[in-house]
Amino acid sequence: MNLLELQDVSYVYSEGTPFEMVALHHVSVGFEKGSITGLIGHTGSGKSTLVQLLNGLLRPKQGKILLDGEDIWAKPKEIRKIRYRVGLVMQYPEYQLFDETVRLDIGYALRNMSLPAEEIAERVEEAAAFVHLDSHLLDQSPFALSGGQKRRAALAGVIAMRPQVLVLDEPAAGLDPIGRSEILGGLRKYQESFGGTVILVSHSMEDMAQYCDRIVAMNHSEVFMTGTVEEVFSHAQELSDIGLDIPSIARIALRLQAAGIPLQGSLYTVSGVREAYLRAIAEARQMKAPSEGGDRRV
Amino acid sequence: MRNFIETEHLQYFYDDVDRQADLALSDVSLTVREGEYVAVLGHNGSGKSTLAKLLNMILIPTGGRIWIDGREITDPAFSEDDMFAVRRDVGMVFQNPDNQLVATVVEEDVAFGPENLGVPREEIRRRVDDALRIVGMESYARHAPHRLSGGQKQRVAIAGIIAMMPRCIIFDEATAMLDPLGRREVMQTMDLLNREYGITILNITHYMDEAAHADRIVVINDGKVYMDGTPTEIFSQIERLHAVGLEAPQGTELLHALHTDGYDLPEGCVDESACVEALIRVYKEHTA
Repeated sequence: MNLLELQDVSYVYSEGTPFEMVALHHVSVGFEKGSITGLIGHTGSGKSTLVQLLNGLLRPKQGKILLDGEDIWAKPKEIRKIRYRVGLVMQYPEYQLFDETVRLDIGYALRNMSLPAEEIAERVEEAAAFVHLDSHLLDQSPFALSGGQKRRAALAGVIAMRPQVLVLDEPAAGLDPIGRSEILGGLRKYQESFGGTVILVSHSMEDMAQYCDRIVAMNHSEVFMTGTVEEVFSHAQELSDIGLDIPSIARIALRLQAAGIPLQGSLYTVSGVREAYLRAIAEARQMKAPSEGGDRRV
Repeated sequence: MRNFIETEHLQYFYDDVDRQADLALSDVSLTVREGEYVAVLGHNGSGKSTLAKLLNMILIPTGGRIWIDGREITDPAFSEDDMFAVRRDVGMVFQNPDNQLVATVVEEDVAFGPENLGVPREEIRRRVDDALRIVGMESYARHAPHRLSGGQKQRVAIAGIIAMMPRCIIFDEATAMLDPLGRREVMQTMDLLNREYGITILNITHYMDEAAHADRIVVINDGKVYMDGTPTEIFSQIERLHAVGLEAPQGTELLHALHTDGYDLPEGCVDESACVEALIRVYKEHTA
């Protein structure tokens, strides 16, 4: 079931001026409840516009956005409530930290939501744990943290709202492999513990393959392709034609298959291809072994 | 080839109000020859960006010595004019292209550096045209930078550096925000600058496939040089990389894992095609 859905949505910047630019053109796409969906596309393909439409920062010029089956713009004056339900983490969220301590910063939205103090305290600790932010950092100034720690604090501020849908624009850009896996793995855990729905924008096809269930590929203001990770990454050539790519390991797997090695299963991560390769060898040997042994019974 | 960059027991200690006082670099002794193409790896906070900023005098070391092109820039007698000469010789390209473009027209942005250096008008015209041609952006000379794609903006930023005619360019995670095509464009530009124009390249990156592309890899950890060698040498020591939170390219990791499973596959294989060939060979050997 789709928790969040765009129905025939179009968006145009500076409409009616010489700078008019179509950012989204009749886009219809759904995001399944409890899934992690990766949103990919070249720069300028419309990803950021789409993301800002999802939580009502932008209002579509045409079409509808449905959250749990209801039009988010049905009551425009209450759009702020939608923003608590659809949490958005923008690029470089660490630039938005401002409060005296990390704890206050993470709890900022919760205070605006007028939650009781105990609940705020509990949620702040919980959100910090999801993003692997050490609790001894909570009472420091956010400006005393390293870049990676600031990023985590900013993410925690949105996770603490426990939004039904969490939308993140390049949350792991500029982080090293461990930082990436802690943050993206933390999202996976968040999604599993709360049955949350996550939408992730990234240029790293490797991360997409590892952490997402489904992929939506955008091209020139339109949805180019949607499907499971497996379905989308099996179209290597089409993705390359629109300026995207598939993970290096998936390219290797495709070339092995083309050379006649029958790899099967999830071929988009190193461990997946390793298992498939070992299985292919074992099966090929099994097929041969009985005939060599000569005791094959039918 | 002669040495272009040399550092000896380089140390840097952050002591700002904003940051916890910490030792960003504790002891870095490193030599880069003129015309080399070096990738610098290390986890966040390992000190690699600090190293870059020391090499073009954005930061001044708290200990140790640095020579650029044979001249000691840490010498107390080194003047402010000398410092500007170092900044011209060692250009830097940063992560976020939006923070590096200053003008409203592409060619004016590229001219900004040489104008500040007091280069004569006709010479600036020639340098700007050349620089835009090298990065493949000549047809955008009169466009507005903010309407370009990320990869195009980054190439304009590179053109701005080239127009100052540096001998070395340091890329500090210059591809981190780019889409796959933008990354390919910037990497091809790095290759061209190095191979055709002999510019020394230092590429600080988290992308292992970019590192595999360089002639040499330096791994920084805990403010020190942790590993230094060719991509094959570095990526054949996967356990040592994992120990400091780094990885090898996916193909290299796959061959390493299967090697551990007992298959006769090479370690440190960084080329995708070579990985595929080795995997086909082993499959045939085991199923023939």
